[in-house]
Amino acid sequence: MTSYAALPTIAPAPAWSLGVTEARPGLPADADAGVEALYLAHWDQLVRLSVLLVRDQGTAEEIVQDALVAVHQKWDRLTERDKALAYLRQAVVNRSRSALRHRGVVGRYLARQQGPDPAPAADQKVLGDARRQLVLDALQQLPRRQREVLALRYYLDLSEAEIAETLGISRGAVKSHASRGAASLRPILAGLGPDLRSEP
Amino acid sequence: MNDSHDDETLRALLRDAVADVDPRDRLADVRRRTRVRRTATGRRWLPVLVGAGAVGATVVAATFVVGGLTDETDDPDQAPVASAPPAPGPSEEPITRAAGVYFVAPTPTGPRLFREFQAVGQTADPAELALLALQRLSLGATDPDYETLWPADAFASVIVEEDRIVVGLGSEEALEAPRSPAAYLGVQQAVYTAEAAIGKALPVSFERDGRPAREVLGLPVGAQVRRDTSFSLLTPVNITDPGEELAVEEDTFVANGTMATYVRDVTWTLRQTDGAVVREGTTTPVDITGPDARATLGAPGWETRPIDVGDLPPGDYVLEASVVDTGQTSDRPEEFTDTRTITVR
Repeated sequence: MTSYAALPTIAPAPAWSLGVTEARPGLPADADAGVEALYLAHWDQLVRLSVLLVRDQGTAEEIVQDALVAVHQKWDRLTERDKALAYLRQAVVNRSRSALRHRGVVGRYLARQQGPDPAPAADQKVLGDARRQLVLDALQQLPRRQREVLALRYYLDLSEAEIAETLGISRGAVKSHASRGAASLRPILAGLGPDLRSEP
Repeated sequence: MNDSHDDETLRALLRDAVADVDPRDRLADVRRRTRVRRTATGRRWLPVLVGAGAVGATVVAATFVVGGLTDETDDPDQAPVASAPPAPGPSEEPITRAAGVYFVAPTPTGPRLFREFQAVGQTADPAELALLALQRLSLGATDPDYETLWPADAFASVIVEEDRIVVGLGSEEALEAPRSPAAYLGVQQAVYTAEAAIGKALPVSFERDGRPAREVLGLPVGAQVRRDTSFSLLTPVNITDPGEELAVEEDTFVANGTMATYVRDVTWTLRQTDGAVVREGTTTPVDITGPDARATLGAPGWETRPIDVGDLPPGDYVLEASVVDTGQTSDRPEEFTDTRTITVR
């Protein structure tokens, strides 16, 4: 077991011990406090974001939890508050993606057991829960990138540049995924009938 | 419908779609997990050590390098084996879980264990997850290349104790049936599958009606059966994603999987059903992360770059991951492979 001694240490020397707290504007030096602040400010929103990506609330909660733990571990290497949030967001999107990959297996089984949900007729008035299901289903049908771009743009209200950074793609690609995704959803919008913004 | 109207409608639509999602408070879980990580840093790699024990210290060290250099491998699923996993409490609602289930398939040097993931049902309880996964051994694999050595209704119960997993067998056939000369692999199917579900390397005690089983699948067993980590038991290359029969609806997909610690290079091909290679490439080492990947038992992972299938005609294709390895008892290099049939739409 001599190789044990050669293990890389997981946590680097904490930055605060070197007196560089000022170099990390807005970031608590303590990872516990920092992650807790992120949790309080963003937990609900990020779980909902993940639900848009993976559909299932339980999975979404696991994903955001995992992402927070990852941020905790990386805390001493983050340089500012915005970076911490950006890293957290990115972790949620990436983990949602890998959850979906594994879902390939899960989904196949569930589909065999349940069969697909019947789609409502185009002229059927769709309200409340049914509409929510329909929108979530429609998002799941989109190619992964389009779904991610739409969720980040319309749910988190991120700018093109922020989306590009989160997904590691160009701004041009963000634009094209957004317009293709929106175009795919348009028939569903049309099928929803009355403008939902006027509903309570 | 003009652009800004579209934007506003989409914004309202997406907000509304998750408006009824009421996330449960999980701050306590986050705190517990970050606390465990901090106090157990030095033990983080124990699962890898356990798994690679038979391979030798130099190879084990190489595994650490793979894990240590990759910045994004903050895998909470590699939680220290020495600390107990969080007990399922009222806050942990059951979710649909995928479990790694081990089957048997031929290789150039004889049958070995291969793992595939199956959706086993909804549970937050490790023992229940283990039982659901073991019961899949009786049902068989999705991948037609994989076989099982377990008869129907073989598994009745699972109890997870501090130092062992007690597996209650449900039929006499599971004890006696001399179903195959490879019964040893069958017993290991159960040990690997149970450990993967629990996420810990614990020996398995087989019981029948509350009493220790002396034979399992016709093979005499001791009070505790450990995971056999010998060189020739587990396939040196295994595909995790895609799953068998995956329908690829996007322009690209990424394949990943696990490999033996002594494997250096995993290559892949995508073939038409007539055998013609349409894509091929190499892979890079990764940690496989994600909430459904807990069952991977800390084996080193590999991953392809995105494989572009956008301009391929729709139809079935066979993805093959392969490694070339020279066994311990032979000088002749042999090719080991794992395959998945996928459908490009």
